[in-house]
Amino acid sequence: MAELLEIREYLKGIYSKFDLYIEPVLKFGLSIVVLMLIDMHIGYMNRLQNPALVLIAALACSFMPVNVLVILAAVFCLLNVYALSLECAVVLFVVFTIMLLVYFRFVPSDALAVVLTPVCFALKIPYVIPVTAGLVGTPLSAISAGCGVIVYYLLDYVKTNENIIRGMESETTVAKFRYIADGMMNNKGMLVMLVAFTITVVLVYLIRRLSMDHAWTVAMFTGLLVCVIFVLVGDMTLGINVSLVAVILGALISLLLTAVIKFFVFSVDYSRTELLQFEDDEYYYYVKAVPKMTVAVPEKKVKHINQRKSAEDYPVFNQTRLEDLPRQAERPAASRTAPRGAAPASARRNSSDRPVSSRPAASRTGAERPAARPSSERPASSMPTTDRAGVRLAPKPGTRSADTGRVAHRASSTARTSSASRPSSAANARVSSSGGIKRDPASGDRVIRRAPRQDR
Amino acid sequence: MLDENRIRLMARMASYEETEGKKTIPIAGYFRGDYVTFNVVMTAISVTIAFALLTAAYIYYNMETFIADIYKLDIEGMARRILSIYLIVLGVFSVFAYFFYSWKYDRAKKSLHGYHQALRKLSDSYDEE
Repeated sequence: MAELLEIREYLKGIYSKFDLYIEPVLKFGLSIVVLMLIDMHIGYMNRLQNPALVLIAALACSFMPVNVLVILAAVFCLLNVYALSLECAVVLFVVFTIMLLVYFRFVPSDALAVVLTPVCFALKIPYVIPVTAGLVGTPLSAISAGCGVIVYYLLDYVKTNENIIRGMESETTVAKFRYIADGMMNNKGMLVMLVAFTITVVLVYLIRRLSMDHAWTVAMFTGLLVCVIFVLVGDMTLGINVSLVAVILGALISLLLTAVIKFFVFSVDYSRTELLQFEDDEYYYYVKAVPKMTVAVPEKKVKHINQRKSAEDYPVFNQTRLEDLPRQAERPAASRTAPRGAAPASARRNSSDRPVSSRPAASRTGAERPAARPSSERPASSMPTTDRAGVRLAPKPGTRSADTGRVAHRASSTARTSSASRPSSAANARVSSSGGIKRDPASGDRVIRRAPRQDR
Repeated sequence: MLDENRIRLMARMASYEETEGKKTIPIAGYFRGDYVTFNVVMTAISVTIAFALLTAAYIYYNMETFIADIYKLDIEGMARRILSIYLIVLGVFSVFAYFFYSWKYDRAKKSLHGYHQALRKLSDSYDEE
């Protein structure tokens, strides 16, 4: 569950960072799907079958408000149906206009449901719409879903009776108009779906608003169950001919999709519910607080080990570099000419292979290099922990691990160094276990990390 | 010299103007009575157009019957029935629109309360200079 929450937070973070690009892409994808489905199912006008036109229309929709897609889809439907029959186009136009004038001037944001409902019907997952509308919307969303159902069944009726409509060319306009209007008003499947969707939306809304635990989950399951039962009862009583397998499969897929939507929209931890009571001057409050499930996304810092960085690129706090320490005059002369510190032979070879300009300045001067001692005598803390490429080196046998940080280890390492070589380093090495001597993998310099000052 | 608090305040206000403020600020530009009346009138016009379309569709649907029985039809009675249905539908939608837009106006005002407080704070910070 924690991984899912992390993925959710990660996706939210990506969306919030790049929503300027993601929204047009999503709108473009939705427009393409909607327009292609219209062309596939009722593509009677050849000019609109042109993929370039569909692409251009989808591109235009991706940079406009979502309601432009709704209008464009309505225009595409009208033009295609007009190519089949003028009377069909008139009926469709009247239906669209009444929806716009009577309902969508109150709630224009719900207009997308009119597009999404037929798309979900075409994809055989219609039950997503009422359950999602009940979870995230209001009871008025039932009207939006209902409008989508009417549009779908009207277009489906036109598609199913395409040949009959084409064959009615000799009939009068009134006869054709009556045929289409009758087909729309007497469509029992549409009536059953309308009632099922309306009841589902209202029921889901009422249940998810309850203050009981897992209200959203209960609402989701109940809504789907009620919707499926209504459809099956309608099939038995009115004979609307629905496939049982299709209904059940569609319901299962809808359940999955709705669960995903619910996870993103509403994810709370009922085990940490708090029931509070308090009062102020005017009211006595009974409060139930349910915390949301959130998790901080761990920040991944990618370190490029191939690229050498200068010392200034690394943040310095509570750290003292060796070159900042006062110079020790008693250091043996050999240390000044020796290659960088206690570098093993392989590293020394590597460092000498490098062009001089790439080496950090301190290593070039050799001013502060400690003596080159045999590796067995050298304290592990002075052994390089990484080679030139930054790869962690295994500790040599007989030496301790390069992971310094323990006071005892440091004390022994400082004891092994000659007193003349680094008196200040011994003094400065009086650090707590939270500090340590580490080698900076980029520059190869040894870094003493100071612990925070403690008041004695 | 830049005042960080003022910049933060202005950034929050600009963010509100770009998102929720696009709907609520134009609403708050009206008086409550003007906003509700305007929208009720627009609703009445929309309902009238929709009703006219439906009536035309109904007459067209029954065109053959009307033409065949045109001398037997009680046109006056039919017109009275249509008008009464129209008035009932108009009344229902107008009442609904009145309550809906009143609620919408009150919600916009509440939403703008915080914005106006921020505006006052900004104005005071300029006065203090």
